[in-house]
Amino acid sequence: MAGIHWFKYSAPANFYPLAGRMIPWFGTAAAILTVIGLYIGFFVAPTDYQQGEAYRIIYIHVPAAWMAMFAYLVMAGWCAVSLIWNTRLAAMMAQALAPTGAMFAFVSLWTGAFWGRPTWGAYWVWDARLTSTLILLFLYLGYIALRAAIDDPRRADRASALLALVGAINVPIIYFSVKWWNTLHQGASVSMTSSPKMAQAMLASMLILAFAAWFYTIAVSLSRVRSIILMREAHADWAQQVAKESAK
Amino acid sequence: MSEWFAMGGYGFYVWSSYGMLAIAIVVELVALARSRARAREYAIEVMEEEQA
Amino acid sequence: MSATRAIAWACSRDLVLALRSKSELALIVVFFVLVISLFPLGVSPDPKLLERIAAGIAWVAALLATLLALPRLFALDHADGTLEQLVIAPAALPALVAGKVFAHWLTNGLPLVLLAPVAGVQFGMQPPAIGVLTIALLLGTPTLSWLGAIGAALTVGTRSGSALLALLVLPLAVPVLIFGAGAAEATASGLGAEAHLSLLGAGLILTSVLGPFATAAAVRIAYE
Repeated sequence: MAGIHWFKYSAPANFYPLAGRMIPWFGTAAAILTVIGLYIGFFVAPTDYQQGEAYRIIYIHVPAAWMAMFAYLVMAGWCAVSLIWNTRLAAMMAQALAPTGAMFAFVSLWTGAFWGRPTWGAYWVWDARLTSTLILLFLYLGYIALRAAIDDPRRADRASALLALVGAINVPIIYFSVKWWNTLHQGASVSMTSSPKMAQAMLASMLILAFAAWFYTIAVSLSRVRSIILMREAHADWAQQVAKESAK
Repeated sequence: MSEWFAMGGYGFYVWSSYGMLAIAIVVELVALARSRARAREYAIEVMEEEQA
Repeated sequence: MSATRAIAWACSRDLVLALRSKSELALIVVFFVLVISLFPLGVSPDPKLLERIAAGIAWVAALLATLLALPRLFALDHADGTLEQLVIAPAALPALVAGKVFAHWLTNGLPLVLLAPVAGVQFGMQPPAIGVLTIALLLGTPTLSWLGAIGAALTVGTRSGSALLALLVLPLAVPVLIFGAGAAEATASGLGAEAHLSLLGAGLILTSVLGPFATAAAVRIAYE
């Protein structure tokens, strides 16, 4: 560890090829884990007594929700780094994460709806976790929209970073308040936390797919950040060389 | 096979869920490829402008 | 310039400017009453239903009215270059910003607080619930002003519309909405609103302390 000058990778020019080498590893790992997880989930895990085959949706619903949350925290982390050390690359990493995080938030909501309908009779229930995920999606969209509204990339970096940090501080507050609101109004409705009693194989499948989602996010974000780097560093010689090479 | 596909009557819900995830991933990967191409084109454009 | 003087100076300046266009101030009030009146028209005039949803409606209307008034906070000063001057002024920017936001609350939040009893009566709320609603709005509207100020500062001078500001601010305002409306409901159902009001108070303290610095940072970002 001592011999590696880690800080050299904070320069976009050096990070670009490193990211390029990492993508195939994470991408392949994600694909393999997905196959394994789905196989176990569909062919090893038994049918749930109460919910029938519909419960198999949680294999992707829960990992998607986890990933949406986790990606936002990592994004906020990169934003903090970008503000503290005034670096471009950290801001670009945050920029690269946002679309994937938003995608997982949306998929989490969609799969939640299609799991809710056969299980509890309604496509949408205002339970704490779903509602918080909806607000999380709005936070992602706000970040992306703010970036899009500001022309200067450095100002966009800093403004969206501040927004992401304010959002990150608020996420626990929002979650707590929504949970409070939900338990007050529960009545006879059920919450998403009453998932089927987990057989080993179900849990295994969910965890494997959660890791698959994580590696997928890493691979996709690294790929996206490479495109962002090329766009923003287009005036640099090294970027132009790289673009020329890949055009051949 | 078609019995498995029917998912005990819940096929519509299960495949709508997995289907949306698949669509989302495909859309993301396609968008990624296109922005990669666009970024490279842009860098080459800038290079040609600077050489001119 | 000391912080207190900076706050007082910025506040009085903004108040004077705001009072020059009294019609705009009246507009916010009219907007609030208008939005509230739309709900019975759109939902149902059933008095029992209206009494139950009154607090929520009042809060949503307050949220939208606050959003409406937000761009004024920084846009005018940015347009004529005053904001840039404030950034490089010898006074502390967080203090100047606090003065501006306080003035903004006085002209936009306080009227809503004073109107709350009217809305309560319009919806047939009971006096205790109306009282709690008013106090909740008193505690919550400054928080909304601060959340809005951060959003307004982040978007100052950009070609974004009010929709972007809404997207940025409303998700953050959800806890205020939940506890603010919940306070009145809790009173109406006899459960007591102490917890709600304490949380609103805590939120007020938190945003009043952190808000000036976050907003000042956002304003600085606009001028770097």
